[in-house]
Amino acid sequence: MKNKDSRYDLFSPPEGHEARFSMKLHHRMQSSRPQNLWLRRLTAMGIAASVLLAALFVRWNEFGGGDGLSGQWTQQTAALKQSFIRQWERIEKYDSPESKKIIEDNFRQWEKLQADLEKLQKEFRENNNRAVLNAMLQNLKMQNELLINMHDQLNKIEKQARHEKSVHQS
Amino acid sequence: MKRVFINLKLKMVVLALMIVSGIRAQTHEVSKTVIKKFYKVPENGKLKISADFARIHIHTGSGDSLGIKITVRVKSDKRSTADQYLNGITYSVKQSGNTFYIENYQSGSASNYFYNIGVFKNRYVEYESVYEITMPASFDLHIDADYSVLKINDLYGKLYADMDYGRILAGNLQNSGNRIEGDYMTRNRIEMLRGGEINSDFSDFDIDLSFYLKIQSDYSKFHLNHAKTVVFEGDFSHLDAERIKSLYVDSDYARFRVKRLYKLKMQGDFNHLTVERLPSTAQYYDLKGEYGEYVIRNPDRVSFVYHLTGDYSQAQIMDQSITGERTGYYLNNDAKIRFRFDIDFGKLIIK
Repeated sequence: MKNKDSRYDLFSPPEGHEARFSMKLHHRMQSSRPQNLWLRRLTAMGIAASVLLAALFVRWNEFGGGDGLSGQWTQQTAALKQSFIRQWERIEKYDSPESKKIIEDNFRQWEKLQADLEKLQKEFRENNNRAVLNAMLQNLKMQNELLINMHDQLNKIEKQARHEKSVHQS
Repeated sequence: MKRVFINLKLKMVVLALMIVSGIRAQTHEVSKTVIKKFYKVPENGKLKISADFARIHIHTGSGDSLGIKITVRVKSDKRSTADQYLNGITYSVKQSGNTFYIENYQSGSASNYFYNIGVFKNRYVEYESVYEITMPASFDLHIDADYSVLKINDLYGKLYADMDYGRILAGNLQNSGNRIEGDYMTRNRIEMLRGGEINSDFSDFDIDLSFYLKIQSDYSKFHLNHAKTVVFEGDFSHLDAERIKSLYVDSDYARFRVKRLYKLKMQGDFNHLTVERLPSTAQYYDLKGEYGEYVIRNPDRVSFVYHLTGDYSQAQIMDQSITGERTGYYLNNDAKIRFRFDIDFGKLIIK
C-alpha cells in the first residue's frame, strides 16, 4: 500500500515565486496570442466549412447523387422494386402449366414496364421536368396493377383447377 | 477583421442551413411568346409538329390560313434556371411545298457547370410550350409530342399522333385513316374517330363514336359508346362498350363488357366477355380459346342455335348445365343467332 502523504507537495516554494509565475504567464500570453487567434479562426472556419460540406453532401444525396432524382425518390423506387421482386418470388408457388404461362406473359409486360421506368429516370436526369416524374409514378402504378391482376388470375385458375379435381373425384 | 470573419461565418452557416432545409424563396414563373405567324395555305396541306412538353390547341375551320402562336412557360424554384430553360429552346416554322413544320430544339443547360454536376439542381422544373394554332380542317396533322396534350375540335384530314405520356382531347376526327401511337396516354377523349388505329400500351381512351377502329394496345382501357366495327388485338386490355356491331378479337387476358353486341369473332386465351343484353337481331358469336369466361345475359326474347365443343368446360345455357360436346337450340321463333363455342377449361353462361 502506498503512503498517502507522498502524493502531496508539503514543501513551500522559494521566495519570489508568485512574481516569476506572473511574468512567465504574461510573456507566454503575449507570444502565443496571435497564433491562438488564427488557430481559433481556422477551427471555426473548418467547422463552418464542414457544416457547408455536410449540407452539400445531404443535398447531393437528396438529389440521388447528382442524378437529378431526389434521394427519397430513389430510395422509394428501389424499395418498390425490391417489393415487386419479392412478389415475383412468391409467385413461384404457382407451378401448374397454365399458371406458368400466365406468369411468363405477365413477366414480359413487367419487364417492359421496368425498362420504360429506367428510360424515364434517364430522361428525368436530362431535363428534370415534373411531367416525367408523373410518368414515373404512373409506371409504378401500372406495375402494381399488373401484379394485382396477375394474382387474381392465378387464384382464379387455381380455384378452377380445384373445382375440376373435386368434380372428377366425385 | 473580427467582424468580417463573424459575418462570413454567419453567412456560411445560413447558406448551409438553407441548403439543408431546402428553403426556397418562392416559385418563379417566366413566359414569353416566341412565335406569332400567319400563312396563306392551300386546302390539302399538312402540318407537322414536333414538340415535347407541349399544350397544343388546334382550332380548325373552313378558312385558308394557318395561324401559329407559341408561348413558352417555365416554372422553377430558381429564377436563373427558369430563364435558362426559357432561353435554351429555339422554335422554328418551315415550309416545304404544302407541308409546314413546327419544330423546337432544346439546348438544355449544358453551359452551367453546377447544373450539370447536379449539386444545385432544382427540386423541379415545370416547362411547357403552348401552341395555339388555327388551320383548315382539311389539313393532315402529324404530331410527334411526348408529355403533351393535344386539343383539337374537328378534323377532316388524317391525324397521326405519336404521343408517349400524352393526351388527346378531340372532337370529330372525320378521316378513316387516323393513327394514334404512344404508350402511357391517359384520359384521352375523342367524340368521333371515324376510322383508324390505336397502338398505345398502358393507355386509356374514351371514344363516343367510331365506324372502324383497330386497337393494338396492351394493358389499356377503352370505353366506346357506339362502334360499328372493332378489331381488337390488345393483350391484358379492357374494352367497355355500349353498343358494337361487329367485334373481332385476337387477344389474351382481355376483358370485354359490351351492352349490345351483334357479331363476335373471338380467339385467345384467358379472355373474359360479358354481353349485358343479347340483341334479338344479333347474327353470330364465334368463340375459341382456353380458360375463358363468357357470360351472355338476357337472351329471353331471342332465338339461337349453338354448337359447343372443347374439353373440361362448364356451360350453362338457359337452364341447362352442359358438359362435353353438344349442339342445341333455344327457340322463341325462328333460330336467328348462331353460337359456336370451342372452349377448353372455360366457363360459358347464357342466361
